[in-house]
Amino acid sequence: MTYTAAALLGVAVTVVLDLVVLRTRLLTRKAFWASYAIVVVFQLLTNEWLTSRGVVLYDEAAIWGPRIGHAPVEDLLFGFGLVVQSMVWWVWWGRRGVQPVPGPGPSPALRRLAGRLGGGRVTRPATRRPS
Amino acid sequence: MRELTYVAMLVFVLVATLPLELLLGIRVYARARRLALVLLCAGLPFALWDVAATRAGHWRFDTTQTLGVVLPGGLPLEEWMFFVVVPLASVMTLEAVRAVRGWTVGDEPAQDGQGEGR
Repeated sequence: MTYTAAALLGVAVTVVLDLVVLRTRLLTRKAFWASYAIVVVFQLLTNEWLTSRGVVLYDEAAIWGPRIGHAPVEDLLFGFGLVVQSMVWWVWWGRRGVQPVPGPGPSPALRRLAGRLGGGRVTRPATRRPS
Repeated sequence: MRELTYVAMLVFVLVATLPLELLLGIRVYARARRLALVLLCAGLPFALWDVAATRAGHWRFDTTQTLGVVLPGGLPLEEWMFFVVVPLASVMTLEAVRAVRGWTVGDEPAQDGQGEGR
């Protein structure tokens, strides 16, 4: 199997895992796409760091050809699978009761600042620890 | 300095995401057991893909740009650490978005408070 085929298969497995197998349905959530939009920028940066310097070298016969910067497009799909599956399993284990209590969120001072800068709703409800 | 090329990228990601834990209070490092399960369920399969792809010759590594430690599977230490650092950064970003925007991700306890705990 070429890297191209493996990468496409990886995306398919990831989508089925989220929507059908684990039913976490993260791919249908705004929180996921907002997070992915941030992660993908860093992924492209770090990929470029590694591929432009030749830390990772690809066999031209195993890849399709198009590159984003120096990285084969397949790397974007590989990264998508890894990032999505990491988040999916995090949510799934949380649902199963493994350390589900979320953090307290931003400190009040930071919350005010973020509210001022973003104008968004920074309305994270305070979480209660079981008493 | 050349041998630090790969590890520098990993350190960059760890440093860039650390403020999320410290300032946003997302408690990802603090939930080590849940994080470990993510590494096992998501990181490991992709690391094994990496091992298989390296063996199949899809890609290889310039080990002069790594610390020189080669771990099982023929991957440099940094390549194994990639599958710790990337899942960690992914989960931290998701938790940070949730913390700042208040959007749900699907593991929220029931509204009546049942299911909370531990």
